[in-house]
Amino acid sequence: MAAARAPQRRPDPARDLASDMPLIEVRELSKTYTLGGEPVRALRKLSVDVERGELVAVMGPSGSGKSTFMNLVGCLDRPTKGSYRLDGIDVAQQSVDGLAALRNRKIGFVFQSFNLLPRATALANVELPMVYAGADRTRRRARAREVLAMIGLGERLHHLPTQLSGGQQQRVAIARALVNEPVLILADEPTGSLDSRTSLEIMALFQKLNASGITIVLVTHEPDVARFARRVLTFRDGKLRGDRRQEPDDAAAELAAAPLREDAA
Amino acid sequence: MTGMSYAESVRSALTALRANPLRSALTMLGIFIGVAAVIAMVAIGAGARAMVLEQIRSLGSNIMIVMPGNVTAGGVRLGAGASARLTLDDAAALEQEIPAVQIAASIVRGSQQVVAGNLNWSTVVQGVVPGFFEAREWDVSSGRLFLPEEIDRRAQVALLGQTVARTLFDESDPVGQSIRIRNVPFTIIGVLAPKGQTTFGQDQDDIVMLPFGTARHRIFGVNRANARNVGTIVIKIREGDDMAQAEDDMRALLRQRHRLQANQDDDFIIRNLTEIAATRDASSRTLALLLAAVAAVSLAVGGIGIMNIMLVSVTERTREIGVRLAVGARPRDIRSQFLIEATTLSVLGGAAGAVLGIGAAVAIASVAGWPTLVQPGSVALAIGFSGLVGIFFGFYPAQRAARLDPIEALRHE
Repeated sequence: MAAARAPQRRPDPARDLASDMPLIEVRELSKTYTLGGEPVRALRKLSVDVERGELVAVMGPSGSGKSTFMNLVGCLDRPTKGSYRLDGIDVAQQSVDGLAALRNRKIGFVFQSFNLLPRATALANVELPMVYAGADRTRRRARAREVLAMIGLGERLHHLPTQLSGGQQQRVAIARALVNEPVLILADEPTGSLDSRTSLEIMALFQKLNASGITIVLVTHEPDVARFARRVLTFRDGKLRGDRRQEPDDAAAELAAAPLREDAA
Repeated sequence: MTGMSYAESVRSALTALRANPLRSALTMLGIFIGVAAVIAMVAIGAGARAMVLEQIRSLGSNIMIVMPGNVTAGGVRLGAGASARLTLDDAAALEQEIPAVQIAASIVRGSQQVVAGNLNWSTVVQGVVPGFFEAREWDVSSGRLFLPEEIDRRAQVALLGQTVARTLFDESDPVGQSIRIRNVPFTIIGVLAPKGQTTFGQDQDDIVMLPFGTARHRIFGVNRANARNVGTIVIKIREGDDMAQAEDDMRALLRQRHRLQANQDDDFIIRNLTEIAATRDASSRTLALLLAAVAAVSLAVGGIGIMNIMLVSVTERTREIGVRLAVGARPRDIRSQFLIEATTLSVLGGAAGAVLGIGAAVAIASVAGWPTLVQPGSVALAIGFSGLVGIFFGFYPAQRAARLDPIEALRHE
């Protein structure tokens, strides 16, 4: 498997070649589950591209296939049929370990329920992906501190998740997603457990990260979240029913205009 | 390739185990007790064996004893020793006619009251020939052994065993002092080196040695009928000769000398002492094996306890596993994480058990007075084995954790 990857990205000929193609290239992707003996066709010959630097919202009711899409794009699962290239790499061809390496190096996950390790400090949680990338302790420490500081949590390095507010926990999770410098952030209902002001903060953070060049795919069913994305994909019955581009709202501006509360939960 | 270093994995395992201290402690209990039992049992077994081996060593090597046997007189079988038909000539014949016999040392022995000053002590008085000490590989701790001429002229000299020396003379040196046996005075010329107990628990140091002739004529008495009789003949077989073959040769010779018909029983008994002791050694070894087997079973039970708790732990931490998989852990990373946790549990339990086991061995030695011997090798083996138990019984839960589907695991509540 590939060697441990340095925090600073080095020039890589394969990458330069790959940078001409879309970051996510999905062609006739199908996924069929067997649920209680019945085949469920969660995705039906879906084709879509996501370019580098996009902020895309994936919408649709439950059962529309958006979670399946996210699992496939996130290299957590392999398609039944069709092809998926992430950053030029054919995901369907990957072994289990190959998928793990892709998740580790290319993707940062953000979940609705934060999914932090309960007994690990903020710092240790952020370090986790680097542990599996094989980075040594010193470098992990330094990089995790750097990312947490960038996210605005430089003061809370040694707090356990239970000692942090929901918004802070989600920031730790975002820091964890960023620590290995992924090409893609996949966020599944990232504001689903947060109040509206904190949601706004998180969306502002995503917009800021996107402005710095990171591609973000948000899975959500809330139009209030989707309005911050420049592109909205709508799923229904395992198929893409809408692909709309829009002028996104500015979360940071709304945040500045919103009345301050004494307690940011 | 990548992943956590071993030290880090152990640290992280300890963190996980600390999260549930009581449960971790209870899980370790099985291994803890198992290892403690192994070490204590092996220490007892090794102690017993060391004692038996010491007894074998104290006998001298390749020793057989010929004793007078029973005779059948008119259908009445008298007990062993009743015939008293071993003679000095038998001893001489054994030594001369059977090449395998290196030494045939005649002895006479009997229980006598020994008096020294105002103290007296009932002990075994034994008359010996010079070859006896050589055969038994027995030397003095102070003074000297009998000189050949002292034996020949029936000198009134004596050697004391350690027990007798201590009883009659306490701390003072008995050499040069005198004792009386049946009112016959003897000068003490030496104290014998300690021999300890025989395989049968007899104190070999509770003895007084006299020259053979002196003992027979001055203490036990002779008459015309038994003038050349001896009590026992101690035989030393030459190094490298076959003990069983020598025994057969001796039996044939003695039967011939005693003019026994083919249908008559032996009127003597030949005992292979080394063999008896070796049998005891073998049985103590068997005992040690048995104890080790019992201990191994308790370790296995401890291992099942670990497996059980690790399975619970995998279920409880399904979501954690999902998160780890999502951020790039490979199945083998998850597997080694849980394997290391199980092994840490079992090795910690094993190490604590080793401490208890050593303590128990020491306590048994001092309280019950049993000889125990804690061998560092057996301690290392027990701890190593508990590590193997952890790996063996931790493997299935770890494998289960590694096989979890990341999507399912992340969804797990």
